[in-house]
Amino acid sequence: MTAYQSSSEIERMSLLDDDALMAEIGSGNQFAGHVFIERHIGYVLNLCRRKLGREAEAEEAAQDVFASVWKNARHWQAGQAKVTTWLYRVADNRCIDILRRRKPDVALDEAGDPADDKIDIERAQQAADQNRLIRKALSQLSQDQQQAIELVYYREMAQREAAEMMNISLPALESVLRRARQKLHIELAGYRVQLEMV
Amino acid sequence: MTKRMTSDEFSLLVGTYGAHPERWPDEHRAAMQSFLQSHQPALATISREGKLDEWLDRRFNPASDSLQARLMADMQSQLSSLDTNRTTSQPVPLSTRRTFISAAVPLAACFLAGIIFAPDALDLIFGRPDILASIDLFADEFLLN
Repeated sequence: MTAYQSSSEIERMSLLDDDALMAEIGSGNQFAGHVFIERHIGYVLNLCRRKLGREAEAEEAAQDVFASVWKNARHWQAGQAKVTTWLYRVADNRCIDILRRRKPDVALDEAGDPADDKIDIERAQQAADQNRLIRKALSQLSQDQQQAIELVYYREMAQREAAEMMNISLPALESVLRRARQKLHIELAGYRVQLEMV
Repeated sequence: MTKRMTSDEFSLLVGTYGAHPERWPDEHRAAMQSFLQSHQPALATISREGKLDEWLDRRFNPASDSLQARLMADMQSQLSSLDTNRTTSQPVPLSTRRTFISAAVPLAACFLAGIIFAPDALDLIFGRPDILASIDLFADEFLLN
């Protein structure tokens, strides 16, 4: 398969909803698997991070969750449950196993009751939606604006250090950052309601 | 003694670095904090930019490259055993695509140049226009269609 066919196949898969994607994965389509990882890795990993608090264990749990997807996709029945709800449950169970391994007596209490579980699933889905909105808004920024926000905001780098890394003067960095924030205000204004849900 | 700050300077700096004092430049932090305490309207700027900071905090930390690579490798090995009908369904990596494109462009250029110039070159070498006329016709046909 040529590179062009490969990227157009990934594009085609990215238009599918989660149920259709599961069906493709069940028939062995690796493009669908590729899109599924990209679509849900943030959601799954964040869930595991919240429950386990340790990056190495969260990664281990996330890897196991995706292994379950590849294994069970063939038997997935569309409409029976939301894929994200199922992912939540698989992740939750895997995290409980890891917590049990860490501290056998405490871990048994982590299961919680199903009502709390439902609220947790909704919160996790909201958080994943908000993450998507923020990423989308950030992707609308120019390359230098994205880099400035990444360095100063997410990596908490000192301003001078960030300016040096970007090979620009401090006033130029400030101007890039200011324009980036102005643009983010505009991009995110339409999503105020979704972003303010906690 | 800290430098006095104007309302415009304050708005500009908060609009650049956000509402958290720890992100403000060291040389302006004290002046900004004292300005904030004595100017009620500055709170509106802080609230507006603080909201954006809060939203930006909702971005998850991305998965590490090593985790992504492990997930892709797992997926490919698991799904290849299911994949009975597809012969080449593995996504082509970007580097392979670039190699493919960089090799295909010069090849296509050589092919085109061959079609255009081969009849004239052969005519010059062999001096047999009657035989080579058919090649010329074929080339014209190819280029026109």
